[in-house]
Amino acid sequence: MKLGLANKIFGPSIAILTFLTLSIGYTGFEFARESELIKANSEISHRLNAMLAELQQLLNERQVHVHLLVQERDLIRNERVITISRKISKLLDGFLDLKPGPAAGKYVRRLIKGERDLSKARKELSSSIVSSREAEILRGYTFWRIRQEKLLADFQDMNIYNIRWIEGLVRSSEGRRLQSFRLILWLFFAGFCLLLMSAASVSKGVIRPIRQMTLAARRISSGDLETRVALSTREDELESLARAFNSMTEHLIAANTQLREAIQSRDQFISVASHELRTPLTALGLQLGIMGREMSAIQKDGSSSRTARAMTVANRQLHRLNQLIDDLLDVSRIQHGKLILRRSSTDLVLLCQELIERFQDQLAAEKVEIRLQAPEALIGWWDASRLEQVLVNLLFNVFKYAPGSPVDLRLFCTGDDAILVFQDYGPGIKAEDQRRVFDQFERSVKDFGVSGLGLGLFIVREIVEIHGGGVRLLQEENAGAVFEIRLPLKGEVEPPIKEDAPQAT
Amino acid sequence: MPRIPKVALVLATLGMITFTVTNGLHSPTSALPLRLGIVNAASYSIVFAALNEGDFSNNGIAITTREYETGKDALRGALDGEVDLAMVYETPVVLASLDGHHVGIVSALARLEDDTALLSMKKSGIRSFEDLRHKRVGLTLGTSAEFFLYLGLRGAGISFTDVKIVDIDPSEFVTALERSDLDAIVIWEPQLSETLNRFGNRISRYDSDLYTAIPMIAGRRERILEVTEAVTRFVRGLADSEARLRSKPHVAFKEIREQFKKSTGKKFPWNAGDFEIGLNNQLVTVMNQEARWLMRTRGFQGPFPDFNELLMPQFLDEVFPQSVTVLDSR
Repeated sequence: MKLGLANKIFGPSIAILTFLTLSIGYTGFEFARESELIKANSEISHRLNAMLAELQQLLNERQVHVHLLVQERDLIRNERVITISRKISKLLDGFLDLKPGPAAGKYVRRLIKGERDLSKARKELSSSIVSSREAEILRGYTFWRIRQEKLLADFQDMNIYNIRWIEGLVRSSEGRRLQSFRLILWLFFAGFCLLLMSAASVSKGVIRPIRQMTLAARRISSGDLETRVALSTREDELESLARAFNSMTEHLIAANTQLREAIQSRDQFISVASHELRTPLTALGLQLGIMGREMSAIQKDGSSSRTARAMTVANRQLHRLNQLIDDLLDVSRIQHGKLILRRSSTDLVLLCQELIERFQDQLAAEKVEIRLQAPEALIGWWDASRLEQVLVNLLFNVFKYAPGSPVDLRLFCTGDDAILVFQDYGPGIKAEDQRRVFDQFERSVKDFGVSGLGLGLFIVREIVEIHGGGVRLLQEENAGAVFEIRLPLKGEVEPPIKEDAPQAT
Repeated sequence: MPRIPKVALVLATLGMITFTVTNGLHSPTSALPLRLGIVNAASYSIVFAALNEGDFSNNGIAITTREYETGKDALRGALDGEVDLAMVYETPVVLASLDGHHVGIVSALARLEDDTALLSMKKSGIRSFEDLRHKRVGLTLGTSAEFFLYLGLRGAGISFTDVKIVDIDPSEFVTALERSDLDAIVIWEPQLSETLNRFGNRISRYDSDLYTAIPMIAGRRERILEVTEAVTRFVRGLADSEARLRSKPHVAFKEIREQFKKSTGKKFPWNAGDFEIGLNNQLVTVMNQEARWLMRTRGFQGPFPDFNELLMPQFLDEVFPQSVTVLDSR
């Protein structure tokens, strides 16, 4: 098994985290770099401004001295002009040392060239003054002025350029900030996309298979045992789980099939055995009957009463054996859906009364008193013999588990239903046994020293339900077992076979 | 139709929203027409490079060119409405302004020291500007050549009246020199290099370090204001051309250099640093100097013009603000 699922979940998360970390780191680095750039440029600009102010002052001062030189023809002024010019040249060299960038450097170089041209013009002017040639002085001064104007124009250009440069830096900074903002937005968008893709991938790789398995489990639990989880070519934990799930389902189906076959074999065995046992028992009953009659004749001749008692016991055991076989045959009919009701208009109250009367001796023997609370009559469309079987089974349970206990038998009518409550005051049924007490071959108390196949309540429930009613076990304080049987007065479900059922008139 | 996954639709929508937030909504631009009066001179290389490299069309401008022999003619074309903008040097602009025309300057293109020169036939005996006295000097009046000659003569201590000026178009210079109709000419590139190449050692060249030629883009002010958007895009194209020149100075103008070499036999005379778009005090200063000269020699009346008012910095301000180093006159 490969760790594909872990990769699916953690891989994209780590990738996104790395991507965002690098992106944010890069943006931060850009911001820091820009701040440094602005800081450095601001310092250059500040120094440039100071030098420009000094240059402006020197240019003005020199212009005054040149003007006076021409007017006064005083060569001492020329010395002063030379001194100032040297300062200007030095200052211009200082500009270049600042390394103010290519554009500003261009202006500085122009100033240096202009200053060189001006120096040449100054030399010509001073020569003409020395020689006192008026025309040359005038021409020299004119050229000086032309060059001086150009130099001043370059100076102004540089000055304003410096201002524009700062403005440009601010604008560029704002532009870069906007760009960074856009970049961050795009990065977040990209991160979000990666997140969505990762979520989609995880959903596809993890959630979808889990959903498929949940759906398959529901289908299987609802009886669709053919359902399987679709397998893919992936090699991850979920794929292993899906394979295990399908394998488990296969095993479940195999076990279920085996169970069904076992139950079917058991039912067949019960059915066959019951029928096979019935034949010799019937013959045995007949023989015992003959023997009984002959014994009675012999008894009159003074035969042994001990043999007669043995015959009685044999008859009783035979009867009991017949009852057991009847129960087994009923179970078999129920299993195969062949339990047939013979409905007729039946008075449940009368049925109960006749039953009590018929079992009077046995009730007395078992010291069980039945207290019947019932209306005058409670008539419904029922199979009387099967309802009698229900009551007998309940009564036999009392004989077995609560001998000597009184029984309250209440009959009443609620709406369209007849209700029969059968209550004894014996030990009752434990809570943990109540759920399975109506199952076949189940007995609430297994070590009570009583015999039986555990089919009585199962047959009760089946007969009542075939009638369209229901039976439930009530839990009441200070009471033994309380059974409530509901029987529809008019059967909602028509009996499947009614060929011998009396027609309602 | 194939089914589009929901995740893809969501992502596409989010992408569009993010793109809109970060870039804003831009409407598609259609090319605007602009008529440009051109002059075959290497000093306008920035414009020619922009035309060659498609900088104008890339900025949504469809240029129609009309060729003129001189900048003076191109400016005249612009003032007459033949073109929207013209390539021109500063002298015709100053003259037009003194004549009362409403000239607008969009941008200077270069600052050239060696663009114009005096060429003299050796057999004429001219060895310097001083020797021009009573000689026949050919030039196109009303162009920068006139101011160049003025400065040269002024340096030599002689006046215009001492020289016999012959007003002649540049296309006629060579023939006039060969016929010995002229002793010297004042001419600019590329005709300057062409003439030097043609006459070889029979001709001499004389420069003046006082004169700075400033080629520019100008036109009739009112017309420029009518086509503001087109002019802005035009300037954007110029800025792109200059940016390429700055980023790749050795390969910039390659075609123009080769063409110059082919036609003149001489090396392209300028460096990348000589070309720059912008509006600056140097331009105003040169125009002021020329205006003073013209008013004195041509007898123009009226107040001295303020050449700052000719500048139209709004276009460069929008596209390349650092190139404007004059205080806004608006």
